[in-house]
Amino acid sequence: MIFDKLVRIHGEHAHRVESLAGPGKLFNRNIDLFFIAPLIGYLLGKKEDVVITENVDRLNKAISLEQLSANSQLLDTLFQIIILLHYEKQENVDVAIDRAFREPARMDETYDENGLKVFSKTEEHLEDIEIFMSYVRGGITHLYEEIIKNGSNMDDYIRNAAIFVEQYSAYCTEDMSLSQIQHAISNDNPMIQ
Amino acid sequence: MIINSIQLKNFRQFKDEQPAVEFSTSKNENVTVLLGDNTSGKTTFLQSFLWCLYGRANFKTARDLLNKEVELDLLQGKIKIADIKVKIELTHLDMKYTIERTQLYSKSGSSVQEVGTQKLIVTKKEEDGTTTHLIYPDDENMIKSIFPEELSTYFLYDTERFINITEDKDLASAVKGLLGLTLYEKAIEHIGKENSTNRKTALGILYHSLEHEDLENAQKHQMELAKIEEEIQEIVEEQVEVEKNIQHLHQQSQEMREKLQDYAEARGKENQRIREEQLVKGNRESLEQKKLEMPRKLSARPENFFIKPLVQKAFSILKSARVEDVGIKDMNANSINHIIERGHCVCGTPVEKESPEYHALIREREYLPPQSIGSMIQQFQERLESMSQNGNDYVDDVKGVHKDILKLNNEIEQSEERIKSLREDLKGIDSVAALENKVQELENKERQQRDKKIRNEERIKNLNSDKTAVLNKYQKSSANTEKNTMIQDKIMYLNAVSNWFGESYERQSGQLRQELEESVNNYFQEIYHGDRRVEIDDKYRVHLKVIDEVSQAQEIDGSQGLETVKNFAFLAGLADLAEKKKIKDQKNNELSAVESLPMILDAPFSNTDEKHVSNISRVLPNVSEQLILIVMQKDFTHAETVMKDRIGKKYMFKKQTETHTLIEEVDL
Repeated sequence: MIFDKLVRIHGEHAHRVESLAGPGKLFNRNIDLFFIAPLIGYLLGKKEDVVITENVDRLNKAISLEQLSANSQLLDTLFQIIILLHYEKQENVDVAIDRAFREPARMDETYDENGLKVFSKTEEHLEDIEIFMSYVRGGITHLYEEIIKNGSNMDDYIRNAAIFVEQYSAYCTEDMSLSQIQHAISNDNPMIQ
Repeated sequence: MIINSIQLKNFRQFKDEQPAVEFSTSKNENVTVLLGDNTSGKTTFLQSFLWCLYGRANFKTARDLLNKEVELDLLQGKIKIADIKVKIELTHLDMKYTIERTQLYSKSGSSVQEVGTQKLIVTKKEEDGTTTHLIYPDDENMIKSIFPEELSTYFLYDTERFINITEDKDLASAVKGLLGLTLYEKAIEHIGKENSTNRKTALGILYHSLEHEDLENAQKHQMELAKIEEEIQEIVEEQVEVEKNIQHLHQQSQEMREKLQDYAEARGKENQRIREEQLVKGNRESLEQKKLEMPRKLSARPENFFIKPLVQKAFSILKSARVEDVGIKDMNANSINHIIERGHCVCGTPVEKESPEYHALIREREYLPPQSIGSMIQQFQERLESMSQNGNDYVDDVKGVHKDILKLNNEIEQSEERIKSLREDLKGIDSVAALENKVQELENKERQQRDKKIRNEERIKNLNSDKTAVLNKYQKSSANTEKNTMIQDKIMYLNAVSNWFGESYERQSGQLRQELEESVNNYFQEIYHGDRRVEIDDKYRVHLKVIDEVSQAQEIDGSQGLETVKNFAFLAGLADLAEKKKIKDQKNNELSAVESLPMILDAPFSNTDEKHVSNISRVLPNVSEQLILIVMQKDFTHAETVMKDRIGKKYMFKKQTETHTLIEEVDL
């Protein structure tokens, strides 16, 4: 279980989550957004850091441990595919497989002040979780921009969401290379504007 | 009846005393033609008949009958008094009548006014021409009986001003009169209906002349009878009112029904509007449901869909990787952990921490379950495969809901457009419901009146049987004298005669309509070249009917030309029937009250085509004893070729000035 601690989304992204998910919103739960945001973020090459501006209060959106635990296998798979693809592009296949599959299992052994052995996530793995989270934030921003930003009411959001899904699906053909897809659904593509 | 002549004096354009216009009275050459251009006084000439006979003329300025030049003379004081006079001489049932109507005028202030009322003199000359009787004002009904005003629209036919009176007026009494049934009515009126004790009837006089010994008892009976008679009379009078009310209410509700008919379209639109609004309501509810459905669809395992583009890439990466699963068969990570813990291998080699042996074991452990990299990747791929497949429906579901939303929005928008347009159309027609209520109200009242009529009939029936009982007692108690026996016989005889007249009247009036309809249709078929019939209703009004459905489309235009043909067919049919009845009566050596009427027609051909002109020209001189045509030369050219043998006299309106026309006879 990779996500064994409460996941929190801070700052600007928390506000974006709030406009996209929750009762009466387009997505029922925050976790629904958490499932798809890294996939979209990765596809578009959108990695974003936490943005906390002075104008934004310190809102944060959390995903409960209970929900994380119930969906641990799915979340592990999502983490694995993102990290696999990320490192394959950045480094090579061996590194990618190592970071996606082996690293989460490695444990650093340290001792606490009482001399008891403590196992903890490796530095590398924690770094990878942060990479994953940066894709999550990138995906949230993209969804926000595509669906919420150009609309003013639920009718608009529904229309924008449907268009986004349809556009996305149009490029889900097996014949397309990832880079083609990335180009096709990126904000630079005039077809999506 | 034949009109011998008409003479006009100062009647509009016809200034001063004009020479009398003598009409052809020949049996064969029975047509008189008067030709004139527009505004030469053709219509005025026709109207002069109406004025003479009924004291009215259909001019916009009805009072403005006096010749304008004469009026000026009056205003300038050249003359003190002037008069309009129209004199008609006619022959009716072998008697010569003169009808003369006069109106005096003089200057009053700055205008010319009528002096006194119209003066009408009707005189009758015996056959030998020696004795003249003044019959008007003694017999006011004389003109009505020989020239019914209700039928004047037909016999004094003004095509250009024709309003479809054939479908308005109750012509029953006029037609019956013309066809001789009035004679029966008068006979019954004179004798009295069966058991009549009214002293104004022959029967009543006889009853009252019966002699009685017990005078007191007889008087008692007489009083009783008088009381019953009075009661019956009251009810009969009431029945007349009731009948009038029924007619009136019926007409009113019919008119409103017609209006409602006009509103039928509006009602349809109102219903459509209500339907559209219900549709909008339903669609709005569905739309709200669909909008709630969208988040459910979007949140239904979205990752399965969004992961799809990445799956193939992940698969191709893993395919290119060489992940050797080199672990020792059936050994697992726990076995390695145990070896490290106990400090020596199964072969006896010591295993110390950070020694090459230790690291070799740790590496080995990574290939063993549960940490086997091969099985992890295998499981990973299986999960991706499954997710990707499960994501296939996602896009269709989302698209489906969105499509439904768009469709509903579109339908709502279209309905709202239609509602807007219907509302626009319905503006000012809110009164449909009110009108409907009014019609209901009128129809209820009519029903009440009809019920009352039935109750009254019942009461009359009861009163009549009471009367018969009293009358029996009265007759039985009369003295057994010779005179009484004679009176009783006479009573019996007159009752039988009264019944006989009554039955004949009923029978004949029933037949009459049928015969007339047949006769009118014969002429209609002869004149009209098309598939139509006419029908005559119980008020003797004529209605056009199509014979087959194919002709229905042409029916709608109901042109004035067709109306003209219809009316001429009615005229011809009526005249023909009258003529036949007259001949039949004469043959049976019966007293005939039937007299055919002359026809005086103004511009009869102006709305009809050549074919109809020919037909009318051929038919009319045959059915009418006398035909007087007032036409424009150009309209008559075609008719003349058909009827030239029938023309007995020809006149020309010669216009001198706008206010003065002369009528001159011209050669045939």
